[in-house]
Amino acid sequence: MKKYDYIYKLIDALLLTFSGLPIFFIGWFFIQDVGSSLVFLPTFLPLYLSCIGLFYFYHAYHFCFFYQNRDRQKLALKGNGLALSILGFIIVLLDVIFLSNGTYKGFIIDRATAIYPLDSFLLGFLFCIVGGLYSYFGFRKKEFEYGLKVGDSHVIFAILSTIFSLFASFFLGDFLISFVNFDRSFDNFFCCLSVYLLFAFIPFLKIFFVCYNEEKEGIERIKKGKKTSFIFSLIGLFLVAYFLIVFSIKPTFLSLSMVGNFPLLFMTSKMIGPLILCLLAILVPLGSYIYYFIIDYKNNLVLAKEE
Amino acid sequence: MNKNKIIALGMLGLLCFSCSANKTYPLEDYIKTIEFGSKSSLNILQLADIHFSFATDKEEQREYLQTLIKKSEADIVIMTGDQVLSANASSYTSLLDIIEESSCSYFAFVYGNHDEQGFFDKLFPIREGLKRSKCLNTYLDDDLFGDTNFVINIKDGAKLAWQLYCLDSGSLNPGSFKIPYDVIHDEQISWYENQVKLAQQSNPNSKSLCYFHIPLWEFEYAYRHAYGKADESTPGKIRNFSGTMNEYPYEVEGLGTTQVFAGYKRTSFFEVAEKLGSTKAISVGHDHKNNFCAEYYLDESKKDDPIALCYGLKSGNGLSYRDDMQGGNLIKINKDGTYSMHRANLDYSLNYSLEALF
Repeated sequence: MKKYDYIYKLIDALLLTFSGLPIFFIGWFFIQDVGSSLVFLPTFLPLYLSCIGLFYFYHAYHFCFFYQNRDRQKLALKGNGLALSILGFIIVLLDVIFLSNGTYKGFIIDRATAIYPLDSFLLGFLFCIVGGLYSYFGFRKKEFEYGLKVGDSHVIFAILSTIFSLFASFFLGDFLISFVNFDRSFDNFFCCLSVYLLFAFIPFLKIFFVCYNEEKEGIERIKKGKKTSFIFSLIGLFLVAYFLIVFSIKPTFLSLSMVGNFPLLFMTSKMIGPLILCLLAILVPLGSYIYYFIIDYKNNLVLAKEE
Repeated sequence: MNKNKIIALGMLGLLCFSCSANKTYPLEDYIKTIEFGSKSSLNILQLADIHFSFATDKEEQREYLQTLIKKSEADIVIMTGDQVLSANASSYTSLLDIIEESSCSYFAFVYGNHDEQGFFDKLFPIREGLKRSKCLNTYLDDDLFGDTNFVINIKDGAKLAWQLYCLDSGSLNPGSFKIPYDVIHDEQISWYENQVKLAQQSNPNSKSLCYFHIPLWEFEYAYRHAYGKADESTPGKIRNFSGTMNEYPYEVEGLGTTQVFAGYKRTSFFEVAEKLGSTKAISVGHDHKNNFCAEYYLDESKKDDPIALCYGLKSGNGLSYRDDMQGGNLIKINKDGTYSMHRANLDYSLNYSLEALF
């Protein structure tokens, strides 16, 4: 069913996008909670679990619908289905407990979000339903016919990819929220543009990989991966250079125009956010290029020996 | 049209595009005026570092802040920055509503280093503040650094008696990996100087108070004098002091190890204020666990009329705080130019006490 492949990719991109704002929000929330000695963590545990749950929701979909073989897909459906259901159940349970013991005075308490804890309730139920469906399809005997076959990848790659997705989600959320406070950039537009481009570049790497390269296999995957990684390494280098140049000319643009975009910078007075942004923009495509280069080189060596 | 003309027109266009019109305003445009009226004195309550956020229990904070304002009998509330951190629009509007609905007659606020850290546009807090009838902020789209630079004149009939100078002390001054705090910029100091001179044309004996967020280096100098850590190179002297500093030690290049999270350089603000002779107290926030206050002077001729450098008590339990340092600083100003300064202590059991600063 190749003609429907784009639908899986579209859903994947949409789910990554929808996980962006919650991850960005909970990242902000967590930073100020750390500054408050984690005093809000017990009360807002359902909020934390809901936001992280949305991120996991995206990954559960990805692992279930982008499969390497049908056996692994079944395993993914079972495992992720159960995990998602359990997560949803815990969220709903915590909400019920907090409502019962008076911690939450109602379904909407005018704290955290506009409709908290109602939103975490609904998300909890959503996770239960979707997790239940995944589990059903995983445990039933009939083969699951949906999804997109992708090339083999090492488990370390999957772990690194997941960690990268977390940063990609955060910066995607940061990029989306910039549309709210975009007016701050007017006085330093060309400086801020360097940051906005980096914000967009990081999640774009993830989405591009899923849409373009993940389903390829064998030599084609390696060749395409090497080529696209090289191009993105150059783009990443260019974007980072652009940022460094404007930063050296006018470093204060960050405090004048981007106060709302770098929570760690303004909490710790250290350039942590911009540093992570620059490192990811260069190291991820470069690391990918080096990986494909080495595999390609090894394959060529093997071929040469066989000849 | 030949090629050279096209290039020249293009350059002209670029030049016009890149030149922005200067946006300066008369000094008077920054001033709002209120009166003593039938009262012989006014109480000015400083609220510092309230730190509303997404997670704030607004009802609890409403009770706390309105109790503090009521018990201190505050006429004017000045919030000296960091009203929020990690906030959405409703965090700020809730806080402004709480102050608007309190027993004070007026309020005003300046930005701290965290006030723009929220999911709202840059001028949202000011727009919202100005919708409230008690708000004394003035906002002008000017070239002066910062968004909360304004003056509140307090008149006794036709006579200008007191002025409140509110300044935006900025946030950070990025330039390297480790980022120092910003300072009051030179153009703001010139603006302050011009405002004081304008006021002194009206009444040479008018007095003023300054409110902003990030403390001056002089706070550290005063602290060293107070606690026997000064040496020959420590500028100035103190006449009196109270309180302590409990923030963790912090390195400021040029200032050394300090518990004052001061700006990245020493500015001329204090020197200018002392020379003009109008300002009697400089009240700041920023350092939640400091409540140190000192009467400090640089010039020996000012030893009988020093300027009080005061950390405002942290107002509330948002972010980090000490249980024994919560409330607000209260300055009572009188028509005759005299004044007194107190700490208005209030804990979350709503136990209130007043304690003289000096």
